[in-house]
Amino acid sequence: MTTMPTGTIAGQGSKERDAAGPQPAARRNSAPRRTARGRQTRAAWTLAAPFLALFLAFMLLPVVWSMLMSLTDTKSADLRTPLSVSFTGFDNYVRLFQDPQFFTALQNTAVFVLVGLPLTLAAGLAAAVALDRGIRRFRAVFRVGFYLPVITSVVAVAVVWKTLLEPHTGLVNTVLGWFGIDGPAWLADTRFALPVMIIMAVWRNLGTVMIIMLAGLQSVPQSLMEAAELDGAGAWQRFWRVTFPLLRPALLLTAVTTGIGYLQFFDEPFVMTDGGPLDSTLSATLYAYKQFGNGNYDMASAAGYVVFALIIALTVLQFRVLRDKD
Amino acid sequence: MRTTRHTPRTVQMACATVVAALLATGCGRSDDSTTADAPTKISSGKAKGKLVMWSMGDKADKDLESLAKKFERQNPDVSVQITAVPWDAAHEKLTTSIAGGNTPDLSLIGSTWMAEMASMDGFQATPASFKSSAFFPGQWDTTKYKDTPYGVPFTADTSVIYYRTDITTKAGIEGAPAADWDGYLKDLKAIQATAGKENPKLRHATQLQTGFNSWLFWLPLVWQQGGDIYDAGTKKFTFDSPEVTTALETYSDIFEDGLSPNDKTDSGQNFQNGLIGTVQQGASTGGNLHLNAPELDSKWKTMPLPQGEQAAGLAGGSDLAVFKDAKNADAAWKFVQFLTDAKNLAEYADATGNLPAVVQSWSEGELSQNEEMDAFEAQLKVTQAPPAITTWQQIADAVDSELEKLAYGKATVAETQKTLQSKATSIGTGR
Repeated sequence: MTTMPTGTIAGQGSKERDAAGPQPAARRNSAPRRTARGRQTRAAWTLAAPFLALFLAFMLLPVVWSMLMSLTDTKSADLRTPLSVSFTGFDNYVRLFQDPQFFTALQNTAVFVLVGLPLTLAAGLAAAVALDRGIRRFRAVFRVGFYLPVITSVVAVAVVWKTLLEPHTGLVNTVLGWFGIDGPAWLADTRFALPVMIIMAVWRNLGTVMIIMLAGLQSVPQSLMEAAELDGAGAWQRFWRVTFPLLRPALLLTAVTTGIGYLQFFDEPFVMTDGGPLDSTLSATLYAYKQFGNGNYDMASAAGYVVFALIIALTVLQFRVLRDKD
Repeated sequence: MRTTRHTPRTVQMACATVVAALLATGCGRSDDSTTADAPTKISSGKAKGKLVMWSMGDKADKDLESLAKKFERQNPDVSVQITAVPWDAAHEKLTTSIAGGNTPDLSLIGSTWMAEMASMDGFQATPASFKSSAFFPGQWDTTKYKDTPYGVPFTADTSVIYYRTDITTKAGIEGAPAADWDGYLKDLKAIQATAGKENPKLRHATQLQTGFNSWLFWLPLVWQQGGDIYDAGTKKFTFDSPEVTTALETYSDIFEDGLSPNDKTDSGQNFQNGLIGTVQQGASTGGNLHLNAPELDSKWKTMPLPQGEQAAGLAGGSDLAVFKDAKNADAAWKFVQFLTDAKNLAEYADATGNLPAVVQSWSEGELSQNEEMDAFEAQLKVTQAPPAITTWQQIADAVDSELEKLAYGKATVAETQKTLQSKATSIGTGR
């Protein structure tokens, strides 16, 4: 209803401008309004300029630059003479996919996303439901408890976990020792290093999912629930048929953001294992970082763009699956 | 209309300027460094003007600052400003500042970064007044790139064997473990046999580094056999040599015989806790032990690395380099001269516990009175520098990852050797 009149006025305006006849009048009429809008536009640009300048210099330019670098043979020694590099097309991408280490990195990243993401969403949702319904008395305590890992620095968390998991002196193996179990060297064992990191990531990220889901849960109209209850729906049915569909936007948001985070899986292996043992925790981004450290700016950029493509693909997939059908 | 069109244009202009500036700084210097740089000349007279130096460390280096104050007293017209750069960020910061042409006048440089940064055309060639004979030869070699020195050694670093006398005595070893590899391995086995019995806390005889930076521990094994991994004359990698085979076998056997864990625990901590009997570490470990566990002071000693065909060790530490883009290069070189003066460096070494790279400093300060330092002095005389090629870090990474497979028993010595040779050859030596 309200959009119709403005739409027609705008339409009329453009028709008037197209017509040759009453132009001067129209210009005179609209002149003050245009200046006001001009002033507004100028203010908007002025306010946005610092951000735009920073964005261009520190975000857009590096993005474009690294795209270019991924198509050349840039090494660290070329930093001072960027014009001396030569264009090599998709050579770096070809070399990347011939490198077994990069495949290992992609594989680890895939495991991390495919196992970690569903676990995080499920655990976050479960925590949110528990906080919304069950545990009323200590709600605040639990909320803080679940959310604390999110706001703590990853590096600090990783260092603490590393200490807990130390084979001889760590708390985990000490406790296992009380029960006569000789715990493994968690982070130096190819069987345990990646699973440990997935558990750690789930523990760290479920707080974010929980907060968003909790907001979603609390916005479910009580009347709908009562109606469903009157119609004879049980607790499970009420959850699956009423609550869950209404949580779809929250689920999509958390799935996309957590998924992107997991594809960029970096801090934990960087601090705790440096990708080892035997590359079992090497992620695609850590691979790129290592290439950078070795002066292979070309390969590092190419690896970065492969991760970028994966992020786009995963996000599109999530939108397809989770978007509201209407 | 005028205003609306004008503003975006200003923004466009501003952005274009930023881009142009970035490009200009990036492409500022394009001289080709195929011809060797001629050594810089230092003027006579006192240093003048403002001098900016970067020093690595997590906090300001008080001892370096007090040396700078002394330099300022001797040269009243100079003012030295020292900026601390954390080691973690130093490599990035140095390469970007060289690339951007906004370097300080001089900086401490990790000795293994010298070739890479010299190849970026970052440093001035060392003046001829610095005599290589004043420094330990291995340390001097760390400053070289394409046979030209681009800096001056400042602090030396190398690792020696620390051993727990309480543990070795119970294993029936009198005095220090054997100084040659055959004897040393026998002693390690003797120590291992006492694990859980005479030495209840002991788990492993020793601990070799696995994974990251294990090349630091392995490369000297090759040199001790009289071999090398790179031939500077033919510019070819020699991972396929028999000396490398022996070095890889020794490394692999230590894990296979259970003499060392491959669990990546902190070896310094394990040594302190008596979980291992010997460990190969740098000078700072001794200082930390003294600080954290003074009750152990009489229970550990140091000895040089075991010998093979010859004695050898790795030259680490840091060098002083003056940048090509230095604003006050003359004063910078004078400060380098001052800092590497035997007396001044000895003063710095005594205060910080760093090892001086100047030979004469060892007889100037308190170092000569500390018997734990004798092993380091002996080791420094035989240290060597890793190959001065720009791709060294990549080669070192490849060595690390292949050694890790060996430590985990996932590859044989022959496979490792073949992989290393082909990986190194395909990485190459850089431009």
